[in-house]
Amino acid sequence: MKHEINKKENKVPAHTHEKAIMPHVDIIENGNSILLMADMPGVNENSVEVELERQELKISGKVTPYVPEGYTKVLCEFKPGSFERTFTLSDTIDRSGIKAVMKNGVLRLILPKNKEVQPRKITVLSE
Amino acid sequence: MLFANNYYFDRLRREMDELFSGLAHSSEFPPVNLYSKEHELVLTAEIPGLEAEDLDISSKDNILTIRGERKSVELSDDQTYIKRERSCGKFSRAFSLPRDIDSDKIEAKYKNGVLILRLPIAEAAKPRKINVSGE
Repeated sequence: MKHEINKKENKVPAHTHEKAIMPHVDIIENGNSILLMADMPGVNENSVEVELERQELKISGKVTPYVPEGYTKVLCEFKPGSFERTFTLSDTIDRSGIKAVMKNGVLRLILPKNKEVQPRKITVLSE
Repeated sequence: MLFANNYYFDRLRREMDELFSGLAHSSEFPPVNLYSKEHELVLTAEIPGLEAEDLDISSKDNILTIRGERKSVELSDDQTYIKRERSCGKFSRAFSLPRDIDSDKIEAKYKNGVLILRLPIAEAAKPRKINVSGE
C-alpha cells in the first residue's frame, strides 16, 4: 500500500487518464473517528492507493482483467476497470493515525479525529 | 458534517457513466459477466466483502444459482451513517446456462471480492466436426 501525505508534486490533471469507476462507499462517524468502507472488487492490497493532499482524500485501485483472452462475451453487466473517488475532509483528521485495510475487495479506512475536536467527558464533582 | 461532498452530483455522475458505458443495465446483485469458449463458460461476479465460505453455489438442470449474504455493518450507539451506498442483505441469482454443463467439474474461486466460476461444457454437448467422405 502506498500512503502519501502532502508529498505529491506536479500533479497530472485527473482527466488525462482513463475513466475510472466510482466505488460505492459507506461512511460512518462517531466522536473519535470516521470509518470509510469502499467496495472495490478485484482490487488487492498492492493495487490500492490512499492519498491525502491537504483536505483532499483520494482512494483508487487498479483491477487486472481476470478473464483470459480468446473468450466471447455472452453477457456483460459490469466492466472490470479502475476505481477512483475523491472526498473533501475537514481539518480535523489526525493524519498520522490513519489506518487502511484491504480485504475481499473492500477498503476499510479509519480516519481518527484530532484530540482537540474529540468530545470530552467532563466529570461533574459534587462539593 | 465533515464530508463536504455533493451526493447528488455523485449520483448523477454515476448514472451518466452507466448510460454511456454500454453495459447491460441490471439492478440485480451481484452483477455478472459471462464469457464462452468451445470447451467452457466462465462466469465472473462482483461480490465484495464476503468470505468464500459464505457463498452458496449450486447447479441443477443447467440452472446455476449463486446465493449469499452481505452483512450490514453493526453500528455502536455513538456511530451514525454519513453516507450509505453499499447494499447489504441476502441475495440470490439464478442463471439458465446456454449449454450442457458438466456440473461435477464446476470450479469456483473467490478472490478480492470477485467470484470466478469455470463451467466446463459436457463432453456430449461439445461441437463435433463431422467428416464428409466422398464415395
